[in-house]
Amino acid sequence: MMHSISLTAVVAVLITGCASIPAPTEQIAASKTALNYAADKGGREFAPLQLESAREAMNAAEQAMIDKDYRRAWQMAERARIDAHLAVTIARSAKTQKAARKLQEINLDLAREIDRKVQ
Amino acid sequence: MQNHRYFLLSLLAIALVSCATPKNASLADAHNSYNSALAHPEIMNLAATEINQANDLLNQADAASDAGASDDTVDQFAYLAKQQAAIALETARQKTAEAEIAYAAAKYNQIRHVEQSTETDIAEQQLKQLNARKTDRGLMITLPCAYNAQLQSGSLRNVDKLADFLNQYPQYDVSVEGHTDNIGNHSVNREVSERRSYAVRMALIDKGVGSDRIRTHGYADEFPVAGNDTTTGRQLNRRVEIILSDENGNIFPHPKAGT
Repeated sequence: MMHSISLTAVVAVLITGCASIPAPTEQIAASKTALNYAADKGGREFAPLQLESAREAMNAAEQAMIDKDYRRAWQMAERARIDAHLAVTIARSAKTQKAARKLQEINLDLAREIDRKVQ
Repeated sequence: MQNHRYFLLSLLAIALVSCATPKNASLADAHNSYNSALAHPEIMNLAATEINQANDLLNQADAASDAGASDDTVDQFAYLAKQQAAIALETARQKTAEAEIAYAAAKYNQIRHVEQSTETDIAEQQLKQLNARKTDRGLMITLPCAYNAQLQSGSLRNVDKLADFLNQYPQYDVSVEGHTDNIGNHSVNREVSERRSYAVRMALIDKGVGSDRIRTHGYADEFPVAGNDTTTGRQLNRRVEIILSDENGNIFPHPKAGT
């Protein structure tokens, strides 16, 4: 019962854009952590667009905090977090794909070498 | 009447089509991103959690749009849905690459195995060309000799082949053992047998085989392989035997030799 009431409250906040929502301090901190993590884990190299998008959203969130527009701060922090998450996922995927290609090349070279020896 | 019904049906169709197309541009982006992820044939197996989250966000975006929420609210859900769908797709690609790595690693081991057995095959073929025989002490190559310590030309060719083999497979060593018939003085025969083994040793060194890989012995007439009472028998006894070590360079000494 409590649950459905709080959910309704959240939806109401979303829809009406009520100004009385609390400052999303934790949300901002979590997004910042996610952003730094993404930058560290190959985001700069493999997902520069997504990382840039995360940075822009992060800046917008921080500006909104200064402006005390907490609804926007909350939204932008969420965008920054999901952008950072996408950047990490792309970087990890790219690295794994690179490793797979490398292994396949090694196998191909090895197979060719054996063919040469047999002939 | 009939025409009327068609007219109504087509109106209904138009209404349905316009319903299916999201009004909001960000909502359209989100649907496109979600559909791209769904187009990955393995998405449901490889990124179930991620694609379900994208689906939830998309439903929320659609619901907000249907409820007439502000563009801002619809945009927010739509953006999250779009990015979450991209995360799902990239996760599926990552998992596919992981499977490829596992497959390639297994393949690598398989190829290495083939390579090793191929090398063994080639080594065995080369040894076969040298007429190597299996003995209790390992593989043995016998080279016939003339009366003196000179090697016959056919034997020299075999020594060349052996040198090629040893250069190619540095894990093997050899013991070169000279033998004579029983004609003449024993100490002279010992000397002749030693010179026979040295001749082979020098030929191998000339071809680039390291001297530390070649041991030599002169056994005189101690170990005949045939009777010394006939010319043919004595001819067979005048020989150099080359024993090939195992893969670790171990050579079994001559079982009856004193030293």
